[in-house]
Amino acid sequence: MILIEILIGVLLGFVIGLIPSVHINTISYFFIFIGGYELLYNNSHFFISLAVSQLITSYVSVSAFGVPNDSTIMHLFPLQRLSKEGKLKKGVYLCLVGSFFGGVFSLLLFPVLYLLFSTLFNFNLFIYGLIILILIMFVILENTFRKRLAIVAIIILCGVLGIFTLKYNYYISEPLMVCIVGLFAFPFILESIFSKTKFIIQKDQDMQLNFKETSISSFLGTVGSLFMILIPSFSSSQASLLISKIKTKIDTDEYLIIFSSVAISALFFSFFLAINFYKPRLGYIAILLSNNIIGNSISNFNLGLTLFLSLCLSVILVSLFYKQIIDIISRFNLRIINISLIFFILLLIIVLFGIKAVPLLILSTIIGFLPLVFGVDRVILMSYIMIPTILFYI
Amino acid sequence: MNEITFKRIIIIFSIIGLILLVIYSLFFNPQEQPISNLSNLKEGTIISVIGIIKDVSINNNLVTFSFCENTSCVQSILFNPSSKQLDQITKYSTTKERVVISGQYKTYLGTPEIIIYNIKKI
Repeated sequence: MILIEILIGVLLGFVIGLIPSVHINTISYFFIFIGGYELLYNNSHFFISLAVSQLITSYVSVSAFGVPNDSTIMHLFPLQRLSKEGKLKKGVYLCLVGSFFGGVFSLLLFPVLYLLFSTLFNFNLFIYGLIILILIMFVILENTFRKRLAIVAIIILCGVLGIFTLKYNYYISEPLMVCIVGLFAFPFILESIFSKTKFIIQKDQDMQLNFKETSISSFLGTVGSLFMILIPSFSSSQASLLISKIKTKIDTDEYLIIFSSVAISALFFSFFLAINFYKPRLGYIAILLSNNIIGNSISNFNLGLTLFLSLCLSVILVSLFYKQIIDIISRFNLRIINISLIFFILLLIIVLFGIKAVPLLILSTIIGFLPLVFGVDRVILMSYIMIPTILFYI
Repeated sequence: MNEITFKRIIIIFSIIGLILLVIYSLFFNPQEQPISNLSNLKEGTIISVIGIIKDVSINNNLVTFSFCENTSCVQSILFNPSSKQLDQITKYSTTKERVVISGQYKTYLGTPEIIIYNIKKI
């Protein structure tokens, strides 16, 4: 029965993962909307495997459509670079390899996370200092004064948006998804609609990888994620960005393996923390916890086994179909797909949160354009969550 | 439109939008609800409730208490309270004064709760 649950979760996650820009948190709002948590109350394995499969499959949609969400934003540039060279399939393959090794390493590091979290978590000052340090690093790692100034301005604007939607939220009931879509997805989609694109044939590449180098890159990603998960509001993309700023000499292949490893490890660690400490680091997992879907009902061994099976099945499933999917999507007119996508997301937001959500979506989209026009790293938009966390939740 | 004009427009619209959001939040008047009626509300609704504060627990950056009206009570949570808010809560819980709290109605592990934004004496 558990195997069937995992299999259905992986299949559904695969389908959802192919929809560009849809984050796993969006799916939880959808489940709330259709009453899915009441219907599938005893099916924790289904929800766990769905999240794993959705994340792994989303690399195919990020590659093909060029529209990320806040978990996959760091993958976009290396994948776009490979796309221009006709090597997109290799890019997705690297993401799959990074995800697999990252997932396995993170399962092995669960005991280390347990020790770290139980000793460090109560040091609020340590976590507070770490978030401040990270924000300062984002500023000083930029090379020109103008860019530094732009980053400070974006941190302030995102922070104000975060405070008045997450802490003092008088506007709509669930502003997080609306703002995340506005900050991360819409500016990308609009940019790609108005930019000139030319058709490039994506060739089948030689997929030989060095096992030792791949393992080291994946392990680095998992270790980065291990420390990132201790900090509330710190996303996997920000961890990836910091790793890439510190370890500057990385080629595109290594980037993709590290980023994928960070993202999958963050997801695995989030499940582990939710079950052992009731500290979900992801909206989707928080909703699973608050609906009693996961928590006491699942043991650590059970969780580890479910994650491992979901990981293997998802990697197998995606590796079987990603080449064909990329070939099919490459034949479509991306501009038309992106325009349809804008309308689809807009409709989804209106259905889930009402027409009142639209002005907030427009505001967050305008703010989401700021890194694009100033040419700074877009993960700084996560200050939207980081600033309220520093001020009110630590 | 050149790049500088576009930059200016984006910045101006961001600031104007945020100012409007702040003004909306400052002047928003949440609907008053009896505690006994909370379970009928949609999760995430912003409400104000009248009652008395009981069983205060202060833990690091978190204050929780039962907010009661007659026999109905609801768990209320205040994140990262200021020292003024802490003094208010302690005072109101000892004097059993009726106060109005405003905040967001949520459920946690199936139990209703209010995430407090503001506490005021009636």
